[in-house]
Amino acid sequence: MRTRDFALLALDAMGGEVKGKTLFQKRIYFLGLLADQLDELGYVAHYYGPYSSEVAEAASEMQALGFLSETQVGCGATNAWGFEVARSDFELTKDGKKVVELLKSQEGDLPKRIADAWAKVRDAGDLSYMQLAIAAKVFYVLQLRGGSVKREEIAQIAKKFGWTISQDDVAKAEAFLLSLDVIDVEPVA
Amino acid sequence: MNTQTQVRCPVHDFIALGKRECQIINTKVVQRLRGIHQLAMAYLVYPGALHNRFDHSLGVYHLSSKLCDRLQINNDDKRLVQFAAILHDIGHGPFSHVWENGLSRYSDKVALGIKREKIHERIGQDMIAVDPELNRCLSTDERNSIISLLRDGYGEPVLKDIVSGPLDADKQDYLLRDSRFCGVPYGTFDLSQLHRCLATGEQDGSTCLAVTEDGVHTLEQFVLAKYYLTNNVYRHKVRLISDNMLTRAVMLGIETDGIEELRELCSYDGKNPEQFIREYALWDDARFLVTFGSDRYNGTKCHTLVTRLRERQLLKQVYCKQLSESEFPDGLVREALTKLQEAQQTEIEEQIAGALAAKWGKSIDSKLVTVSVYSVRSVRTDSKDDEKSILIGSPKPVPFEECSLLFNSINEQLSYFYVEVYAPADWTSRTKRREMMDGVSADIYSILNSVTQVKGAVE
Repeated sequence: MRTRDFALLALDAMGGEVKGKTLFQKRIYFLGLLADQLDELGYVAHYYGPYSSEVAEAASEMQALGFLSETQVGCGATNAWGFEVARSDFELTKDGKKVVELLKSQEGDLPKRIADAWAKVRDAGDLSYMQLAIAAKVFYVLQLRGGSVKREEIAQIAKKFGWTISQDDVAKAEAFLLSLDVIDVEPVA
Repeated sequence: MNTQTQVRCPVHDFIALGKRECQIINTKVVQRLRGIHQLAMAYLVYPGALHNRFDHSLGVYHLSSKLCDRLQINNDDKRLVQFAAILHDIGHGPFSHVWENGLSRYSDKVALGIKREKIHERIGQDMIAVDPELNRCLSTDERNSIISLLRDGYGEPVLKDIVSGPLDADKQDYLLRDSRFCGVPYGTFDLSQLHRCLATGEQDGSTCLAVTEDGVHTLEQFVLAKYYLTNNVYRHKVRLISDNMLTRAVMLGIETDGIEELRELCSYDGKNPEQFIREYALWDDARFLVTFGSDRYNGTKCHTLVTRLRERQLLKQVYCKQLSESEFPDGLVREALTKLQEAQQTEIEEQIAGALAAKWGKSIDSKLVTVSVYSVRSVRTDSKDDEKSILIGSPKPVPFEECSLLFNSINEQLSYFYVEVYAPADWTSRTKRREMMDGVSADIYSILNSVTQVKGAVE
C-alpha cells in the first residue's frame, strides 16, 4: 500500500473533503493507528505533534495528478510574525473519486478498515485541528514512554507543549483518547 | 584534539585532523571513497564534477566539528559526531546513490528488517561493525554509539541533527561542494552567518538543532541553494539519463546477461556481512566501468550500456510531458503511469521501440528504451527534507517556513509529475531533434494511454 492510496481512501471515508492540512495530517495519523497501518505512513516526532512528510507529499501528488482540489481560505487571524493564517481546504475531484473506486476493488479489506476507523474517530468527537493535534502529540509522548497513564497526566503533558491551548481543548483531546480506547488509564488516587 | 595533520580543501580551506581521525581516514573502507564520484557521472554534463565521497566526508567532518563547537557539545559526544561524519558515506556503492537502485531491487529488505532506511546506509553501519581495520581504530562502545547515531540517534537529538537532518553538516557540505565543482554558483549560501545563528531548541523535553530569528534570511538562501542545485544539477536531463543508463546496465547485466558477479554485489541480506563487505569494498566507479566495459563482457546488454557511457554515446530524451489533466485527460491513466507495473513498463518500452524503428527507419533495441516517471516537489516541501522542518527560535522553536515571508507565500502543495522516454537516437541539430521528437510524440502518447488503460478498465 502506498501512502497516497491510504490518503485517498481516508479522504473518501471522510466524505471526500477535509478543512485544513493540519487536520488532514492528524486525522490520517489516527486512522493509520486504528487501521493498523501507522508503520506504513512515515510519522515522526514534530513540534506540532506527529507529522508525516509522506502524507504531506501524498497530498501534493494528489493535487499534481488532479485527484484533489485545494481552496485557500483566509482565517482572519495572523501568526506570531504577522502573516495571515490561511487554511487549505481539500476536496476529492471527479478523477480522484474514480481512482478511489479503483483502489476499493484492489485493496482488499483496507478500505473497510479505514472507513470503520473514521467512524470511530468521528463518533469520538470529530475534533478541531488543534484538539486533534493535542491528542496526537499526547498519544505520541505516551507511546514513547510506554505503560499506563493516570488520567490527570494527560492534561499535564499537554500543558508542557508550549502551545497556546485552552482547557477546553485539552479536555476534549483527553476525552477523545479515552473514547478511542488507545491508552490504558489508571484511576487517579 | 591534537592536530596531527592539515588537509587543504578547495571548499573549506584547511581541515585539521587529529591522530585518531587520521587512523580512521587511512582505513581501506574510507580510502575507497576516493573512487566513488559524489555525483555519479554528472561529469558528462559538468566536466568539473570530479569530486568524490572522500572529499565530501572530510568536509562533513570539518563542518560537524564547527557545529559541535558552536553548539557547545561536550568533547565525548563531539568525538562521536566527528567519527560518524567521516564514516557516514562508507556504505555507498559505485556511483553513489545510483547504486542504491540496484541494492533496492535485489536486496532482501525483510531479512534486513528495514522499511525506509537506505540499504547502503545499512551496509555502512555493518561495515563499521565488522571491518577489521575500523575495529582496530574504534572501541566496541564507540562503534556501537556511532552506528546508533547514524541509525536512530544517540544521546540528545541535536547530535543526530548535526549528522542527519534538514540542516545537517552533510547538506551544508554537499551544496557548497557540488556548486563549486560543477561551476554552478546557485548552491552558495552564507555559511558563516548560518553557523552564527545556530542554537539549540527544546522539543518534547529534548535538545534539538534550531536557528535564531536572525538566521531566517540565511536559511532562505540555504533552502533555495538546495532547490536550485536540485533543478540545475541533480535533475539535469543528461544526469538523469546517465543515472538511468547505469541502473539499467546493472539490471540488464543481472536479468538478461546473467552476470552473477553483479547480482552478488547488489544482493544484501545482512546474514553474512563480513563476506559481503569484503567483496563490496573492492568496488568503485572505475572498476565497474573497466570490468563491464571489457571484452570479457562483449556482446552483453550491460557491456553495450557501459560502453555507451564511457564514450558518451548517451540515450536521448525523445519524449517529455507533464502528467497533467490537460496532457493526459484520463485520471486512471495518470494514476497508472505513476505506479507502472514491471510488465506494463516492459510492454510500453517494447511498443515504443517498435514505433521509433518504424518512424526512423532503423532497428531500436527495446532494452535500451526507458520510460521514466518522476515528480518535482515544491521548494517549500523540499525545505523540510524528508524528515522534519528546520526550526526557528529558541528555546521554543517553530517551523522555518512559517516565519519566512518568502516561504510562507509559496504553495506547499504545488508539485508536478513528468513522464519521459529515453532511447538511442541520433540527431545533428536542434531542428532535427525537434522534428524527430515531434514525429514520434503522438505514437508514444497513444502507447502510454493504451497500455495503462488495461488497468483503468477495471473501473
